[in-house]
Amino acid sequence: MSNARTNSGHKAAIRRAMYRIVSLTGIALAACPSMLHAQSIDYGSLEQLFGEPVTTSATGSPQRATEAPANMEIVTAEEIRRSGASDIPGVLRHVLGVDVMQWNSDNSDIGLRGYNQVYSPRVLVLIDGRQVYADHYGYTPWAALPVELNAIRQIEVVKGPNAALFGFNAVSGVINIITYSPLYDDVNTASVSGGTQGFGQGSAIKTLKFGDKGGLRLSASGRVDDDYSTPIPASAGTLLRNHNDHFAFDLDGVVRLSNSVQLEFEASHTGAASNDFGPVYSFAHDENLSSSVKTQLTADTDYGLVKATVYRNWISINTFNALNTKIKFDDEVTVAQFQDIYRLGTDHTLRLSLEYRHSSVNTTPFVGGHVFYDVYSAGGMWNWNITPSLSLTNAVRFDSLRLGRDGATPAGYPFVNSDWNRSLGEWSYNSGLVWKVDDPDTLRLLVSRGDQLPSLANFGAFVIASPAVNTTGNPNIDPTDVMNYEIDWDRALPIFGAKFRTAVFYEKFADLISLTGGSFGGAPAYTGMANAGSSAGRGMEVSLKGTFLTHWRWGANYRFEYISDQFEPFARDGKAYLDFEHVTPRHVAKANLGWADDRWEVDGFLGYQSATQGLAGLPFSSGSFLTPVPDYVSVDARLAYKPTEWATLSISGQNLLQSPQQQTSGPEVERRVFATLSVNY
Amino acid sequence: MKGYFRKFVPLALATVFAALSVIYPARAAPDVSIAELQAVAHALGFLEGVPRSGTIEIGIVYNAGEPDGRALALQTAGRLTSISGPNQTTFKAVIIPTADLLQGTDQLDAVFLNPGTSNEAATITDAVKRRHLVSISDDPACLDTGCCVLMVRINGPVEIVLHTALAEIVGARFSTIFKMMVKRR
Repeated sequence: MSNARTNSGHKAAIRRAMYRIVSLTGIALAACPSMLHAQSIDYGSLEQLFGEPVTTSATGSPQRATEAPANMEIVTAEEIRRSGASDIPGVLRHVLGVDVMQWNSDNSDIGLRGYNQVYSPRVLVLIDGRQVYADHYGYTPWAALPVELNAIRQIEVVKGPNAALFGFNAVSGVINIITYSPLYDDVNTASVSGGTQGFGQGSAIKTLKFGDKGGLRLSASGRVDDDYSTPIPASAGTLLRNHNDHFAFDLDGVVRLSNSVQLEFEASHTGAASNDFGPVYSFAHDENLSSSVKTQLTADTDYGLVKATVYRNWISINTFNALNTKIKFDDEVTVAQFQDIYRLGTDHTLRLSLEYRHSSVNTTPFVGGHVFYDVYSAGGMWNWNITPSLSLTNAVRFDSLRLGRDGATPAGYPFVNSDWNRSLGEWSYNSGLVWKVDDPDTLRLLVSRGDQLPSLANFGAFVIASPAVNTTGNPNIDPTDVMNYEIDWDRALPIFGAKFRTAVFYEKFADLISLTGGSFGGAPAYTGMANAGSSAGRGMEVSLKGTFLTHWRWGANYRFEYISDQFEPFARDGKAYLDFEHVTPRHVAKANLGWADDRWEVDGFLGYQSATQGLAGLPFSSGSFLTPVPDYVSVDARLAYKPTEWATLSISGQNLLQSPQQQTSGPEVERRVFATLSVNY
Repeated sequence: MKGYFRKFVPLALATVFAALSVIYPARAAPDVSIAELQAVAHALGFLEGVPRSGTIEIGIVYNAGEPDGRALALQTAGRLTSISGPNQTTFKAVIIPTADLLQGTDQLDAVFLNPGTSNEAATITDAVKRRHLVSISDDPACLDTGCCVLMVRINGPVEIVLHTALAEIVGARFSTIFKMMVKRR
């Protein structure tokens, strides 16, 4: 009864928030004396105009990548195609500052500048601004994203906190996947692939244009593959591998309502079954069904560029592990956003934003309860071009979270629902000074702060109540505060057709969240999640990339990072599924060389990671321990041939140098080879 | 041993420089290149009132007092008509001596100020204001003399500057996104 009443209250709150957003937008639009050009961002035209990618992921305002007050890597569509990868983690593993832990053939975790772990919670991942990060367990299910590689215009990787723009969880950084616009771009492709490990994939994208009034893009894909056949470490359990499979449908549309107003809409549905390395470093099977709907209204007015967005995500995930515990989360996230970007005079750009978010999930494996929160946020950004060569950007955001729980609790549970009646208020900010010293040189000074929100599971949605073991999330757990300081220097080397970039950074994490360490009483006693302490990382990045002799391109980068953890005794030396000091490799180097003409493309990628350690789980989820991971060198490559203008044949491979190869504390990875036929029509 | 190094080092350096000169050949200095005109074409795509299909008519303004003024204008016009316009458009170009700009009656969507017109800025400014023409140049000096609404330069990093006062006078309205991304003065 209480559950039904509270959920009904939430739905009413969501309806009210959406009504307010739509009403505010309507009032703002109606109040405009005149309208200018319509504008969702035409990335293609702007990139052609400025000769470099354009992004909104640094400040929310459109900017040239070189002028953004953030350390950002932009992976272009050409780089995605020439990576030879079959999924997004495969693309990103070649990118400076991106750490990929490949657990299974279809299961990876991604961290930025180290700080990676299973169910990596500190990187906020979005597709066209819509969060695909899963709030219920605080991670990104990469195998279940509803996006085709051929539909991606660029992947924007922002390193360091960017919570003042995106809110909670954008603390190690943001990965914003930008797809082609159905209005401005015409993408019509189909591809089929086959490869080792029983890999088979089909994908099709069709764009329908309605003059300059609108466009619609439909995409669909299916994929099957077997997992690696290398042994699963004994510490990860005794479960046998399943086949991996994936399907996805996505619909994106834009309607030009007038010269100044555009309506965008998106709907997606994805299913993925994959072998998974779970939060306690145990082997599991996941079945993931995800859906989303989104609509966005953009208007170019005398009062600035006004954008109102509403979206909803549903994730239903079943996990089967070796303990034969069925864990089923049904996660719903509703987000309503409003923002106005306004240019004031010749030197100032302002952005004002409001956001409402509701996220809820059921308790599991104990059933009958729900944990949820509402977040009300307000933020602002001020970009000041102090001189033609010097700009200062300050952004600030306040998030007010109200946590709650309803429904049943297990007998003897140490908490009652009112323990979740808790409010949190968190400030985040980004400040960046960008100094274009001269044509080739740009310096950036960046300071930023953000918060990683405990997942809904951390907050108490995860409850095991059994005679043998009692485990629970913790309604009193605190968010992780993250600070980042860095200095970047970019230098163009036009005589070599190259760019040099370097960055020195210091990042500090306080109140990191562990799955163990909490002791809550009850009968029998419950243990569970707790704040484990702090950690600090110091590092530097250097990269060079360029082109020569028309057909050649090359790149080389290196990252050094040293991390020191200051954990509570229960979590030291990797005992509590959390360790960064021993697990993050000190040295990571990547290089690539490629050649292309009208018919052929040849690319090779080299990766090196110094010896480190990994975490492995103890039996019955009773903690973890450190295990050595040797240094390794990996090679990926792609060879492609275009027999006609509309067809491309390619063969690509991952981990070509050595197979099997240990890259994590999980199963050794194997060599993979794919052959693909792509057709543009 | 020292003698060996004295011989070897210059030879090695010469070899490296020779290799680099082959790999990275010197680039010619651009005039009004096709690349510059393409940048102008892309910029016009963000200007309100420019046709989204059909033909965009551009006046190429030149200094008739310059020895190669007319020939250079014809070259620019030829290059402009060889490229695509924004959206689904093509370009039509007419060459106009500065002195005739004020009296002209052509319905122009914009004018491009060819090199050599900078010493006729006052005449151009007067004509642009009276005829409400959107003037575009690749010469940064046009911003100081106030004769161009838009300065588009691609030597080195692309530089686009919008002269907001002149844009207001001539009634040039660009999309908000475009205005956010260019420099303004």
